[in-house]
Amino acid sequence: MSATLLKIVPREYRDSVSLMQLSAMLGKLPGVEQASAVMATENNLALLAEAGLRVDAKGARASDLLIVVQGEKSALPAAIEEAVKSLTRQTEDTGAEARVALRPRSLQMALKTTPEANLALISTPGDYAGAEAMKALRLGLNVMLFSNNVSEEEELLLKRFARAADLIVMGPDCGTAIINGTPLAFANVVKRGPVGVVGASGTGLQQVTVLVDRLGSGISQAIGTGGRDLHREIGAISMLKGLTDLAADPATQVIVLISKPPAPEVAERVLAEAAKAGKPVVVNFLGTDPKQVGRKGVHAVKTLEDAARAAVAISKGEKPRDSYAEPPSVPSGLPRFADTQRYVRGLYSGGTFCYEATLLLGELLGDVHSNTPTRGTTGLADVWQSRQHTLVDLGDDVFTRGRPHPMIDYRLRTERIAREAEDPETAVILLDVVLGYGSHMDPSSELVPAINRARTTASAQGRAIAFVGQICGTAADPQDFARQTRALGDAGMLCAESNAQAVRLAAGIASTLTR
Amino acid sequence: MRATSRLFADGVGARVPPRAGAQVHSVFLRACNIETQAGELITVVSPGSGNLPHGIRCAAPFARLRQGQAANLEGATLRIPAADFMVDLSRAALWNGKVAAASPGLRGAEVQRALRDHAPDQGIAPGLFSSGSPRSALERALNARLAQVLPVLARATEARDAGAVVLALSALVGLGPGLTPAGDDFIVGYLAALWSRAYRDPGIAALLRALAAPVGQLSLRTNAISRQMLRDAAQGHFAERLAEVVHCVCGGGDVAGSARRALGIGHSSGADTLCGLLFGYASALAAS
Repeated sequence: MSATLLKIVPREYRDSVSLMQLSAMLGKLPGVEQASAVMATENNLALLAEAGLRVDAKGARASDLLIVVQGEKSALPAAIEEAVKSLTRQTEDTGAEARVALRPRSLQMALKTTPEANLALISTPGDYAGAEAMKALRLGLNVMLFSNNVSEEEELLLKRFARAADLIVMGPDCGTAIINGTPLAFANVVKRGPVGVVGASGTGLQQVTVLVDRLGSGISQAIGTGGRDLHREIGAISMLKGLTDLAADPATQVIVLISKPPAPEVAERVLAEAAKAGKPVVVNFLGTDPKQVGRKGVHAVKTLEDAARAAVAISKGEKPRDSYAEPPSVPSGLPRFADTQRYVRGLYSGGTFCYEATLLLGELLGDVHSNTPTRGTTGLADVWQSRQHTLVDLGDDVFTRGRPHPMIDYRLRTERIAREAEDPETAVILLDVVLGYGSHMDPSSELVPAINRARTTASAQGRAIAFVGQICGTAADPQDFARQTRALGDAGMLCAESNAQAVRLAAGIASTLTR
Repeated sequence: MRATSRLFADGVGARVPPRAGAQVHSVFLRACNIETQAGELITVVSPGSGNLPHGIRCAAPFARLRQGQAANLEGATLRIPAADFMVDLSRAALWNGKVAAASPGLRGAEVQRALRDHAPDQGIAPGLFSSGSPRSALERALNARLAQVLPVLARATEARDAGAVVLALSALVGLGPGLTPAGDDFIVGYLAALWSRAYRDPGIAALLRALAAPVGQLSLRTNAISRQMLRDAAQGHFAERLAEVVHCVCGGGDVAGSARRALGIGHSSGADTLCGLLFGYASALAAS
């Protein structure tokens, strides 16, 4: 039988995000069924009682913090102790904040202490990011602009200024870069080597750099440009700068360029410069026909995986193939699907993975719905509700407002897995699991229970669900790639080498089902 | 020995008292509250935040502040000697926080869209705008309470029945998650809607006059931070981020942009306030 334990912390004022995080952390502890950290107002005490958390909070006042945990009796004291520890840690963090006074508080101060720095990574609310980026450029620094919500006009202004000063602006909304071997923001730990990459897509850069590493080669530089760089209005200013720099970089033997479909005239300009780079260039403009892109000195490919494989082949002096794709295959030992089960449901944390999957799955199965629709596929009228084959980018702004990105916080995805499992039409759940710096430190700890719960739900209704995914990571990533692969494999997820292979695998399974 | 930092405030709320003995009440990463001996709470926020009726906007060294440090407000200067810090308010722009509808029309649909698309997964908005099911018993209980109270509040507002409004608000005050509980944020939004219509609708003006004292009383049932916010709202003074939404919804300007900025307040406070605002408009206009 479940018990309840509470702790009143007098006059404790924590910001709402801390309270939310504390509740979430306690709710995940072993033996805890539900937990709450709320201000001890009269109405909240009544609300807790209405929620079945009957507590005797005599003496509690509206200015006190009330921590309530419910679950196995033996587990509750430890949970309360953990809550108190967490509050103490936060206080110590605030104390540590005091020491921040010794840290640089402006770019100028930072440059005084580190005069050799030549790059500023800017991550502030969008309203201020542009101004900070301009300050950095005026100080002669290259800029990685992690912030989003910077207007296109401001982006153009920054990039024009940078171009005139022979600097680069990576961003805005640039989530991934590897500069001189150092991963910045969301990036994987890869070997250094002869392949230089410039990408207008964060997860696109991650996929290519990870696969290059896994193929035994390495990365010289991975330069992000921000997703709008190849728009007509911006004119690929950052991609062209990155291309020029890699062309001049003696450590780079092959250059890879990645983008979603660019504006046609921008694509032409980039390809013309690529052809003049003096080094082989592999181009993956997702959604465009490689035959229309390829030219002398430029090897065009269809998928991110093909870009990595072609680049590694070229760096070894081999002739790259036009495509490395294998025809869709159906693995043996698949579960027995019910007659109602027909569709693939892709739940993505990486926007470019979702986009690439939509392209490939649309070609293989048709009638694909997505919130990142491509030519020939359909938008999703209600992003919360899948229909037929559906691929959802859960990193889209619609989902991430007020909560961390799904690469960090898996709740959105595990909730959606549960919902898809209840749908009798779901046959395959397709996932991406992104490792590396910035991402969740143990994704399998979130996904394995979600997969197990989904299987139980389906099984209770006489169904079985196939899970297919790719783990975008390397052996040197902090999450322990081998352990993640093993845990997800043990949970029954079919782990593919790349996003493209995972999509083909899912399509292969779905194609065997009655339509 | 550390030299005293002399800072200049960018903005100061019209409700900040000209002089008061006080002490530091609570400290956050980018804000702190200072409680006067008269029980008023002055919030010092970083320049990137919006103005507040009881607020001072400046780049204060929040990390040096500790709960209980003595503070003093006099001669347009806020001093906290133990933190070696003083703020000159004399050059600050004054924020009066009054809201008024510039036109009789409303552009509430855009706020509703922003809430549907961008509201966090906590507080009141998920129950009103999300199709997902509650994730915990507490969320279920909160939704059930709202389902019970909001129709009553709507009817009471339509009828301009101050007694019934107070009764409904008493079930919301101090209710729900957050440092400023969701119910308090909702009430502030609701009152902002009413105040912005007051000069167009004498019935609403009368209702607000009748609500001022009871809302002040109700505020005693929540924490000090919410209390100040509710008291200011009862007197028709609001935060800049909220006033901006009101201005855009009832007049011109970028509704979606202002709503997004308001949604950035706290974790779910902005969303809960906007829920109250939309609810306030819907029920205030129902009888107009």
